[in-house]
Amino acid sequence: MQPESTASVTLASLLPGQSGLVRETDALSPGDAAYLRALGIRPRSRVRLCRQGGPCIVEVGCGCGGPCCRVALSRHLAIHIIVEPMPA
Amino acid sequence: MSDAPEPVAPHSEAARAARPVRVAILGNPNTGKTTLFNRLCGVRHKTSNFPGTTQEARIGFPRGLPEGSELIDLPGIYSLELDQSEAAICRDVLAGQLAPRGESVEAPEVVLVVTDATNMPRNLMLVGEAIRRCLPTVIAINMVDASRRKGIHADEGVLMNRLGVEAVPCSARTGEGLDALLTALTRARIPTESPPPNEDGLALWADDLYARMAAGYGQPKPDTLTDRLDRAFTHPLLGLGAFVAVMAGLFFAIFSLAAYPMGWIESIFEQLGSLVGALIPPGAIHDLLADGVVAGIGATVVFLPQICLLFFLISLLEDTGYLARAAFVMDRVLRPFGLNGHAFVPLLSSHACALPGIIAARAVPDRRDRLAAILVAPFMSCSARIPVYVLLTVLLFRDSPILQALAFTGCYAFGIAAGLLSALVARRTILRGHSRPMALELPSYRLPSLRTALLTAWDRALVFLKKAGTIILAISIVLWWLGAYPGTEPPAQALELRERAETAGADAETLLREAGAVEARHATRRSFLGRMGEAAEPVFRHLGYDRQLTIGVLASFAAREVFVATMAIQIAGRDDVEESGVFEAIATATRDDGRTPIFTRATSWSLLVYYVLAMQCLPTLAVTAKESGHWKWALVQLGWMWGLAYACALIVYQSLRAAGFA
Repeated sequence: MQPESTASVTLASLLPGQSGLVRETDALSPGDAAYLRALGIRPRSRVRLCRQGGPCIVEVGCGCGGPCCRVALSRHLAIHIIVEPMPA
Repeated sequence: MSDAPEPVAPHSEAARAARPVRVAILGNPNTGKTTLFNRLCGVRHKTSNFPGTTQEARIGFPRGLPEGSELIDLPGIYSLELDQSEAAICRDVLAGQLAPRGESVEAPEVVLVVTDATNMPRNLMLVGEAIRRCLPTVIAINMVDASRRKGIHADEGVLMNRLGVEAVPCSARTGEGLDALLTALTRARIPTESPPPNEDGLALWADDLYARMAAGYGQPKPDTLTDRLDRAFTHPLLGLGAFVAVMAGLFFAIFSLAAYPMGWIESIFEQLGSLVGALIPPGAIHDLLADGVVAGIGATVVFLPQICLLFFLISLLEDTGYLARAAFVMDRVLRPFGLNGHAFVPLLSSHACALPGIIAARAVPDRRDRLAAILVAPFMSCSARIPVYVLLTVLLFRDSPILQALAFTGCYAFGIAAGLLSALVARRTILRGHSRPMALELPSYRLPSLRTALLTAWDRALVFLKKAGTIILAISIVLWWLGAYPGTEPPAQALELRERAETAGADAETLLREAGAVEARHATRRSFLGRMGEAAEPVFRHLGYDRQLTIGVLASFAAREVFVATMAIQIAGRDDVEESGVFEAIATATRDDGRTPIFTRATSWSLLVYYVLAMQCLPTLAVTAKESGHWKWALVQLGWMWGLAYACALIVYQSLRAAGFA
């Protein structure tokens, strides 16, 4: 079951340890969006912020209970990824 | 969902199993692709490149496949559809439009997609892109040992049934499943399913496929080790401290451990020189072989242990997962200068030698970032500068080892600062534009593979030796010729000393030695290089350099360390500065007027600044041209570094002279 919809925020503004569901990456250039998609950061994927800052570290999962991988993202990218925070 | 694959007739399968296959290895970065290649091929491989690119291509000849079979290691990519040179190479190879240099251009007979069992959901995206090509495909599910430890389980049978291709769980690190993988390569099939053509459809397809593979298994265990280590290694302060400690350890290992084999190499080349001297009668051929070829190659090959050790240790660090964290930490430091975290390995490597540093810049994904790293890498103080730094810092602070050490360290710091500021200038002028923002995978921590590290060091050693045997050999011969010809008659003073030696009895050896020194000084002065030094002296006069120093600077244009030996020959008639009396002779040497010292305080500081900044290494220029893809970048590097060195040395000399230190 999907979590109740809450206000969307940027990935950079999640709190450390907080998870979110990626909603859109449209504000990024097509090249950056494609690269992030290849890394697993795409609409409907689940992310968890591990470390805030520029660059920040996010954990990227497949959203289906599978394993995760960690990705370091520059602040420029993190502020252009819109996520829907998920309850802890 | 598709049906299970059609059974293959036994006789055709047997025939295919005996036929050599050409396999292209595709995979995400950090999936253990290199470890798998090394495990299957070992040293049975060659290194080439893809035509029209600087991308390295490794072609392996694996045991366990029919004779004549080849593995082509493609660059690690996250997606075949990305607008990146590495992805374009993979696309073209799979389409049969590109092959490593020297190989026939045709599509591979098999695509081996290497996936990471601990990160299957994302890896399945690349699997989907690969099977869209409709080539015979095999999927290696690598790192199953790590996935078991993490409690990650997925059923490869689902993958095989759904896609109609072989999927083999394996571990390149332990060797588990590799026999089955080799067998699968001889029976590769064209996939029976193709994912949707659009990217959203592909993502949903990959998610659905993984969900089916993992159905019925429990949740993976949380990776607490990575969590704990990352808290330290990526912390703004702790991370920087850890980085400094790791790098200090790396440098200590490179400089202390490499000293032994470097000594052995020096000794081998000395003996080789003596052997040539004994076997070939004196004359032009003797001088060419002993002083040009053997001495020239020896002076370069002596750095081989440092290069091997550097790449061995970097490979170990990369394999543990730490190097990605170091890039993360350094990104904050390098970003204000227009570089990113990826640039730190090339800059670090350049402290041993700029050649491997520039080659290591291949790991920088963005073209502008890569060019910036290549252009400034030679500012990092390499091993070849050490003899020059030692000579000048000792001349400057003869009675104070502490000040010598401070000045020595200052040279390194000055080189780093000059490199970073130069990168900033380049990024704001000739390399203007946005670079790719950092999006870097931080792989899980794991034990490194010794075999991979050893093979990496072996590969780098071969590349370096190839250069030493071609470009560097040619440069050495040209420099030797300039320094040895046109040849002159011995001066009257030397003849007189030799005459006196005939009747001097016990003092004969001293007189003969003195005569030899006089002849060497005279020959150097009258050589083409000596004449060039005289002609160029007006250019360097403003930096405080007389004719002899100018010859030293010109002679070391191809390799900095030559400066010390050239000065020793000119002043003392011997090339070993550690020989008794030679250093004293250099320290007290005077210009042609017989009064003014060559090495005043102002001149020594000017020289030190000059050698920190100047591009005095022809092999580096050759490698810059090759790695950047154009000679213009080598010329930019030469012009900028030499111009900056001249300007800074001029300011230092003229300021000190004005302050009364000349």
